Amino acid sequence: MRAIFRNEEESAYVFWAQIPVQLTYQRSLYECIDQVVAMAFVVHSNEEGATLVELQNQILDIRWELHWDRDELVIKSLFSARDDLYAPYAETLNRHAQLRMPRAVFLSEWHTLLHQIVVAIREANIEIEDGTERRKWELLQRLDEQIEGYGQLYTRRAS
Amino acid sequence: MSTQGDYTLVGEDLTGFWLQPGFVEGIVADRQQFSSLPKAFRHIFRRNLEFAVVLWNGIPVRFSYQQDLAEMTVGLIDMIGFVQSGEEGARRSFEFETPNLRVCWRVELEPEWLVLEADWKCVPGGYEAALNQLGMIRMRRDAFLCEWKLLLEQFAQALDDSEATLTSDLARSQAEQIRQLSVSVPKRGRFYRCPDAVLTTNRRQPDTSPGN
Repeated sequence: MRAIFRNEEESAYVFWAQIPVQLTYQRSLYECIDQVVAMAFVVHSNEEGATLVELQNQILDIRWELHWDRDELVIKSLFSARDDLYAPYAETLNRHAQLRMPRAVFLSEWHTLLHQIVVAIREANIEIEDGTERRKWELLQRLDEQIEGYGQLYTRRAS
Repeated sequence: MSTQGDYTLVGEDLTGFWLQPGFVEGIVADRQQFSSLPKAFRHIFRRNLEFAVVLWNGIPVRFSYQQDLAEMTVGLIDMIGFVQSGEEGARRSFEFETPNLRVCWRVELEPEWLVLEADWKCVPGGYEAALNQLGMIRMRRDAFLCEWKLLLEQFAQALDDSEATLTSDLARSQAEQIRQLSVSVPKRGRFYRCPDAVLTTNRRQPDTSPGN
């Protein structure tokens, strides 16, 4: 991903209770992609379960505890500022320490990003030599095929 | 982490004002008439889903095209024109109020630099204090202008694609200012410099919805 995405390009954003959290493709997602794919896989594959996800960007460490039971998913979050200057930002995010949403909605939001990464890797026409990384790539493609729908900013509702 | 004069340096990649416009879609060539630019853009961008995001010293702020940027258009034209043509030492405040946010940006011009001081009063999600803690930015004037170029291009393209008619002289003059500014700023912003990068572009769609 470091080779495909550049440092100075558009970023992805997670909107947590309306507050945007930046995930740069080249840095944040390079560091977190294994966690994101694993999270999407376990949430998609199991009717109920729990998992811990740790993400990070340049200014925040993000810890999510996910619990889901059939259609309902709960995220308990902790945002920690990596520098005191960003503490008020993390504090505001932590005011919304728990979010509840349909499991399918959560997966469709991440599907948008996973699909983007799949398309970028295919277009880059790269060859993955490492066997473990190839299996991750196959898993990523499978998730892209199996998860239904895309996020709400990418789905036009019938008017 | 260090400070330089009055300006907090939070890291080379974080310090500054950076704009990531959203993907513009759903523009309909419905040939409507509008008496002002905000009215025009509220209609033209009504189907847009993505937000534009400003990175303010590393903290992102979202702007809806229909609700926020449409309301801000006239003030933005004024501010960008001031930064482009204002004289050294000139200072002005620009108040923006939309259904989702309120902010005052005070701009002071140096020959090649500007100081932008913000008083964030309301943003979606309520993290104004976090933004105000990092409330001052000093950056090159030309770099600031470049950040706005793609958004200005989107505005101009959207007006063309919608085939809208502006019925007042003032609105027509402001639309012309958008076109002139978008052409006169030489380069796009920081995230849009690579020639083969994926770009946020306008996509015109035929109007197939009922009633149009």
